[in-house]
Amino acid sequence: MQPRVTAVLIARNGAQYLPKTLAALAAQTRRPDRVIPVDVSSTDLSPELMLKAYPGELVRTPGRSTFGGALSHALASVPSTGDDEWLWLLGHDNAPAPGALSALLGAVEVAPSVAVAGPKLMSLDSPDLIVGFGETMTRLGRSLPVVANELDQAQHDVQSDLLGVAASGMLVRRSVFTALGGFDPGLPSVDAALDFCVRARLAGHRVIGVPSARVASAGPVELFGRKSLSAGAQNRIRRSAQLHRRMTYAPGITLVLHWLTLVPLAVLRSLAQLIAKRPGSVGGELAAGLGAAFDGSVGRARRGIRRTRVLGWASIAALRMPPAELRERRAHDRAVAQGTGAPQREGPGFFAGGGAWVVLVAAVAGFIVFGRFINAQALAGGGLVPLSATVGELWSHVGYGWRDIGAGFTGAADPFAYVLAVLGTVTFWNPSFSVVLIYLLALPLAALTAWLCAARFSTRGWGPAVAAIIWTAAPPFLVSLGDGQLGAVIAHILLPALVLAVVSAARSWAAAAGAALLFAVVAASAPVLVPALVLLLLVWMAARPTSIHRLVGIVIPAAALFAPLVVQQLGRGNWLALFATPGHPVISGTPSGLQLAIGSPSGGLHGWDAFLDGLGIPAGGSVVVVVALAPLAVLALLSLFLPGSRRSIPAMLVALLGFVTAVIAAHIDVTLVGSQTTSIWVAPALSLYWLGLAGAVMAALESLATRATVPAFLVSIGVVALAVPLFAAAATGQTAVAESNGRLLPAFVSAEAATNPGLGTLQLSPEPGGGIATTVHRGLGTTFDEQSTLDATDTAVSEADARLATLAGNLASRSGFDIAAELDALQLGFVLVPDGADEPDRVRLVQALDGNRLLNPIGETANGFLWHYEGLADGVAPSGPGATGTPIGAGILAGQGVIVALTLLLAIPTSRRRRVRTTRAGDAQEVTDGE
Amino acid sequence: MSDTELPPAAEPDLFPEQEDEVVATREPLTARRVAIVGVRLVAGVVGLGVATVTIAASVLLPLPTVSSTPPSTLVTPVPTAQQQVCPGAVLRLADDTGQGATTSSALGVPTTSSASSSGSVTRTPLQQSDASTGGTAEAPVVISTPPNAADPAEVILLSGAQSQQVNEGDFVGLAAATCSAVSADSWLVGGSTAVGRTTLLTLSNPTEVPATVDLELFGENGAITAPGTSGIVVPASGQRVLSLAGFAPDVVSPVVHVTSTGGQVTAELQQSTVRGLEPGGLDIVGATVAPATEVVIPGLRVDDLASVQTLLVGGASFADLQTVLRLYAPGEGTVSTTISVIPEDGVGTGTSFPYEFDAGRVAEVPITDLESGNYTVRIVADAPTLAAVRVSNAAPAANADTPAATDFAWLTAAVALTTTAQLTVATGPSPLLHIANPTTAAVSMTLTAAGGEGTIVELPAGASTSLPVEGGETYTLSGFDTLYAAVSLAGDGMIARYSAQPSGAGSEPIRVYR
Repeated sequence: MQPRVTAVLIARNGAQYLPKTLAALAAQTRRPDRVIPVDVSSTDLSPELMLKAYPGELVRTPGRSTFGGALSHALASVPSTGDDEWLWLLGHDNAPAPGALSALLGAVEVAPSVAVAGPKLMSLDSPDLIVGFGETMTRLGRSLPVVANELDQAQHDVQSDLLGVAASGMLVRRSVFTALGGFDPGLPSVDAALDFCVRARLAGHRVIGVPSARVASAGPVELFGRKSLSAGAQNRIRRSAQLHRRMTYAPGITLVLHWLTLVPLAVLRSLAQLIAKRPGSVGGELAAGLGAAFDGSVGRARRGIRRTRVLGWASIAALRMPPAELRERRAHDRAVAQGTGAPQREGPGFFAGGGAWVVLVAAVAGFIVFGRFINAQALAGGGLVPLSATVGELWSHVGYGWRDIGAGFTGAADPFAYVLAVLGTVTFWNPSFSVVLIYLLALPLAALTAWLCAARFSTRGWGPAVAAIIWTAAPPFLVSLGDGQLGAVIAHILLPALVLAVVSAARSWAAAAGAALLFAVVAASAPVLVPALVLLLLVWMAARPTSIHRLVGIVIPAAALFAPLVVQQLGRGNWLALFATPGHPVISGTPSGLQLAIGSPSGGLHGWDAFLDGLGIPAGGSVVVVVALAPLAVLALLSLFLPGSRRSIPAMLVALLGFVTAVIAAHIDVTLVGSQTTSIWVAPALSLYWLGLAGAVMAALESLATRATVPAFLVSIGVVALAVPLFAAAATGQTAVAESNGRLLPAFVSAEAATNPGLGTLQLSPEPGGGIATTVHRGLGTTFDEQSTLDATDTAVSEADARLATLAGNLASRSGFDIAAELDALQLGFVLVPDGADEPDRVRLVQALDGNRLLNPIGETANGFLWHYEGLADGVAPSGPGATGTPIGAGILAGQGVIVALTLLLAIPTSRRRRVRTTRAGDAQEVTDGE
Repeated sequence: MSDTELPPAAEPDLFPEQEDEVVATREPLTARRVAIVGVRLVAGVVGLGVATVTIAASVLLPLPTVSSTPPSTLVTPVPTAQQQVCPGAVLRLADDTGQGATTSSALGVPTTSSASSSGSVTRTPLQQSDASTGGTAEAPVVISTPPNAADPAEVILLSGAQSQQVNEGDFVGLAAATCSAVSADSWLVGGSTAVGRTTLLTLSNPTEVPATVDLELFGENGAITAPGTSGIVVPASGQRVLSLAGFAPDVVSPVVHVTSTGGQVTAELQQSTVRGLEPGGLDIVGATVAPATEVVIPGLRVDDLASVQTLLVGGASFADLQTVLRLYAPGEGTVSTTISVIPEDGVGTGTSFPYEFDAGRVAEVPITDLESGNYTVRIVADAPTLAAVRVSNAAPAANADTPAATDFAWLTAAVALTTTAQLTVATGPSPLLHIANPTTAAVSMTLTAAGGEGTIVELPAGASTSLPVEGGETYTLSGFDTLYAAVSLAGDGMIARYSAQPSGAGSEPIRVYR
């Protein structure tokens, strides 16, 4: 009996393909006996086109959008014409070759056990390319095409049994289709045909591929009716389909196990996607996992299989892709991917280009200058105080919680606390030693980052070397080192690395994530740089609009770290305080505009004025500075006149922003130190200024090419000469920073506090302008990581502050105040008066404390004069919840942790990976993208 | 300013970087090349301009500074009981029998008067003393008055004074002293350790903690170093009595600087003079004003110049009957002073002369031939200076066999009173209240005896005067801006004097920063 063929032509917004498909259908050598045109809610001309070809027969499927759904709906309205009826499934783009149906029918007629036959799907645009021919699964159930994207050289023209074939062009016996219940509604697009074929096989039917039947295809099935599909959405659809099939195929016993692993696996796979630099797929993974966990269609699908299955799962095992072949295919893909990588840029090599030499010289200079710290366990002085003694304490000082500084309060930690915690963890046996290490390695590290950054923009070896010299001898860097401004030091070391990462971020997720981490560290270390850096980032985004999605993400980790602080400072209405220098507040000089222009962050002429005045040459300092800086200034400005403006103009823009930031920062006095205020530490802004100048000099040297030797030499000599007094001061120990024994309080207090961490020491510091400043040290003292800009910029007197002030005022006087009760309540066992000039209030304070019979004078200590309150009653010091002690604190900690961890995963450099790109109709299905 | 000029500078960025090759291959001068060079020139000039304008603006523009105000609290200490210490009995080294030359003992009981504006005064003797007077009426007395519980801010005035007329063996004379508040730093100008002159240093610590006292001694030859001058522990509620001769023997004009840590003390010198076998008087010398460039010593009382002058010719041992001004300036170099001796009420002849002396050494300036009368001594120096005056009083001998009765008094500098003050007059012969106004503005002062009517005293600029007052009575001085006051007692061959102390000063409020 002659089989009857009912072709189902399903169109969804396929007007651009339909004319060709309809024509091809009409040109079949064996015409289908009946054609059912189905329109799936098209908004274009598709219905009209089909109606024109097949008047009056159009089936509309309101409310459905999937291929399988439309098919079921259409078949429900068309009665079967008999047992030997075949369905030929065609999408709007599936224009069949003239002999396609004939070939398919020919194949199924000779083999009665065959219920499903699939054609060879050819690319619509390039008919020689096989888009797909057959689908299969791995042992673990992942679906994959048997053949995809291969040039048709008749290599697959052997008719063979397949596990599954695509829905497009599929010829299926209608009785089998009906018996199996059609396509699984739980699989809207991907794997629907594969799943159907698997069920057909389990029901005892065969599925074959017919190579002589060729049908065109414009794209994968998930693209059906869509213009394009992002990589993330594509991944989500595929993953959802795979999980649905896993839950459907799994033996009943293991179902619970599978269900329980859905979400954990989704999380793990998300992390893997991050490491593989596919952050766009993370959402899809999680959505697919959660969706599968609450997938109501699994039960129906499982019942369907149970009803129709006659053979065991072992019957299809042979048709799965064997592991060996799978490995081979992956190896092949990798080989293809590597072959298509972008060619490496030509640039100076680190060893061949002199980078190693510059770093080595910087290391020697660093050793000469800071070698005296080689045996130090901690550094203190200027803005530096020792860190907490253990890693656990370090990490307890991050996040949102009780800040044990001053009278204590509950609030957000500075993001810088994270930086310190990470640093301290590196030298976990003695966290304070990490600061010593930074000092020992500061110069070579600065030289290294500067060289690497410069090498990225340079083609000549000595250009980066000059940049490294300029950067390592930068006055703001050396002054920050001498003054113990650790944040500024870290920012200076990392700025070139940040530039390098941001520039690379336009093309690479790993670089973008690395830039995000570097930006977070730089922002946390020197918040003053944030406006300028964000502005520069915006400029870079404008220059690279296609990479905006990667560049925008650079600010995310920093934003997450700063968010709690921003909320609190805005709540106080003190938004300028956000830019306050983190760390131990110290009074710094306010430099004038000219001093800023020569890169001097704390006033003065880099020590030349004092040095030459000492030699009896007044005003000689200005001459030296002008002469030493002249080559740098001339070359930087000259760069604008020379070719290479793509580099020199951005560099000068960086310099301008850095300078303007420094001028503004010098006029923002938000940090309070007792009765005084001090401006934001401007050195980081000057580092940015210096970075721009160095970049401009580099651009000029590049343009001068072979004539650059003398200018390069002059610039290097000038900058190094300029810094000689700074180097000398650091080398001879005339800087604020000095070796410390790591103790913040007198040994007597440390000994007591070792057994009583809540023991408080009230520090009363007579102020230069009269009055006294109070602070409380708990336990071993207020460490570097416990410092808080929220505290240092607070212009309000809290209840606890007022209480402390009352106690201090009465301690500093003959008074009838019940001092003992208050000392007990606040658990203050010691009173410390730091050394200083003999102001009237110091005399008064010392006399009053001396005359207080409650206090036993211990005497002069390394930290000042100490009194002991021996009658301290047992009690509990005022305290608050830790970082994890409140829901909001734990939430903040978790949120910041997750964001930073994800960025870190994304930043881990991995080898080139296959990446799924946004698929558009007509695109090749999978492409390899360079990192 | 400069930021707005940036966009034009960014223009050349749009040009591709093939410029390098253009230069390298030295293409002929085309319009394109001219344009590129022109744009570069513009970029450079604009960049140069932006740089100049920015730096110039940062230097020249008066940029505002955003500054936070450091938060602070003005803490007014909770008032506590005020206390002052009265020096206690006049002491002697060795007892009545001449034994125990290193231990001191009391010479009778002083008469102490005290009062407070709140009416309540507690008197407590110090519990320990080197003179074995601890806890007795002979011991230094602590007078104290509690704050007003209802109104802690009320200023309560407290004052006290003591006097003692001694007539025991070699010790004959009148000594009077004010009770004074403790201090961590006091200067004593007076005394002598020359032959026949005994000077004791008494340190009284009324506080609850032991005081550690360091002494610095200076004499006519400069600083005196001696063992035992540092780390002298004065126990809580205790008195130490030290012989100055133990540190500085044979010093005619000592000056002692007393500093204490821990508890605070009051310090006095007690000088007694014996000329051969004749008693020469005694006195208690309180702390004087810390070194200052203006020193005012009111109450120089010369009752009988002739008697003193008669005795002065009696030999070297009588030389210290001469009225003398002792000067000391810490530090080095020469100090130029103008010394004025101004008669009270403008009556009589004063004198004013310049005087120079070496800082670091104690200088003595005789003030000779003052007519009988009352004077105020004022020293204006170009460096902080200490000063005190010794004045003697002699009664003419009744007959040739009995010696003339002589006594002397050390006149310490008076503290400038700038607010209402209270003054207790010690009991003794013919007490006088001396007030001096060395300022250039007239002063009107109201003197109110306890429970009495106020008397208004007008004092022109630069004038001084004295008023008879009642011994044992307490007076309130009010209504003035700046005033110096002292009380003198004098009889035949007896003289004593002390300066008025500011009273009632509670602890000043103190500013406390966070």
